Amino acid sequence: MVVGGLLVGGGAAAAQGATDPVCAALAAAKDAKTKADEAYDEAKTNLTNASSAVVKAEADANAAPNDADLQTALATARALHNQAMTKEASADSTRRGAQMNLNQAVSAAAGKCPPPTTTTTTSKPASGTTSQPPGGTTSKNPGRPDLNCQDFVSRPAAQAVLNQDRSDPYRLDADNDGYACEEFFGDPSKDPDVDEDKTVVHTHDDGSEAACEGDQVTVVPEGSADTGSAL
Amino acid sequence: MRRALFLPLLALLVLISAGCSSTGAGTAAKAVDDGLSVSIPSIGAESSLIPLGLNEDRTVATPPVSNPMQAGLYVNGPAPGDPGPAVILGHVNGGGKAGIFSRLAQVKAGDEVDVRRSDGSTAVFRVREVTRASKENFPTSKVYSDTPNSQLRLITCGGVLDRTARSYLDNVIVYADLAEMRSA
Repeated sequence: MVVGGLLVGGGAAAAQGATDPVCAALAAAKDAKTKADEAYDEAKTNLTNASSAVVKAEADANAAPNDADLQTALATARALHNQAMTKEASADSTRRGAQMNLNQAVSAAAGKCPPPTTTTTTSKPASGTTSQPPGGTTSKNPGRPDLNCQDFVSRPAAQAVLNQDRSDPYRLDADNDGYACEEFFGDPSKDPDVDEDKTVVHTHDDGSEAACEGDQVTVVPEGSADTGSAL
Repeated sequence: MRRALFLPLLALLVLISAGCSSTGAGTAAKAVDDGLSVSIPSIGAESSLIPLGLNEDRTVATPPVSNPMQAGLYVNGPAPGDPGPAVILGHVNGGGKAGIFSRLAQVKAGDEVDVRRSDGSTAVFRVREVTRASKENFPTSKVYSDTPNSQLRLITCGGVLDRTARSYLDNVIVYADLAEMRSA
């Protein structure tokens, strides 16, 4: 099917140019995903800053436990951190929804829409986002972009594309173990769905609280370490 | 597109061992970049770091006993200098020779431990605590639980030698906190 307009990166322009409603939906989904990513990035940055502020405030407060001002500052920092966590979680949810919509739109488009590769060098989203969203076209389109692991926001996003076409046209699973891009993003057990990128406040064994990036040791060994030979 | 996979040679090493070091590098769950090294100036210990995964019994793998001067980094934990408890393991001895951590029990609180990272920077740790723990009651939680800052564990064998089992009964564990990051 020939589509008249250029499918450029800007969502509105793409939607206007694409006469096929499926392609228009795809363009809109890409646009929504880009905006969701931007909102998430901002929320994540805010959360990171808030986490750092909590850690610093804790250190300050611990150094001078009788300083009421520092205790107040710590309480404030924790409240702001909680607020940032809520916003980040909301933005993350929105982002995941946008990703799902995009995946569905990519499947629905099924190669009907022109590949964006001809326009990406001359027209980019107004946001300045340079990464190419996954699945601009399907694997059957000879003009498809070459998706690499770094083009995805997360390993599950890459996995979703792999799941759509297990022949793995983009070679996201070079070792054929069923997992996409685990060498790029890390162990699948650390996927964002299990809090890879959610900063949370943990209470540690010593009773202290601090912002931690999920489980820092992903697999805890059993028992002791055999680190010496008697021979 | 994928990064280069970790050198598969470790899995091929044939280990002749007994007692406290009956196992080798095990299954490295993910790659550890080249260029990592650890240095403990106070005891003159210095080694590159090989990746260490799990043995089949899910105990932590250790470097090959045939090369007891080799230390390794547990790959299912954070990189040294990143938040969390990075774990470095080395032998106290092996094959009748002294190991990289033969003098680890002599490390004192305040001693410096330098870990060169894959980006060329150096994470400088200060020893906070040196403990000896029975292998029967290994402090798994204290060693591997999340930490509020970047920390380091150095683990080797120690204590009484069980000649029947040809194994040491304790682990010597050094706990250290990140003090400074030095750029490349």
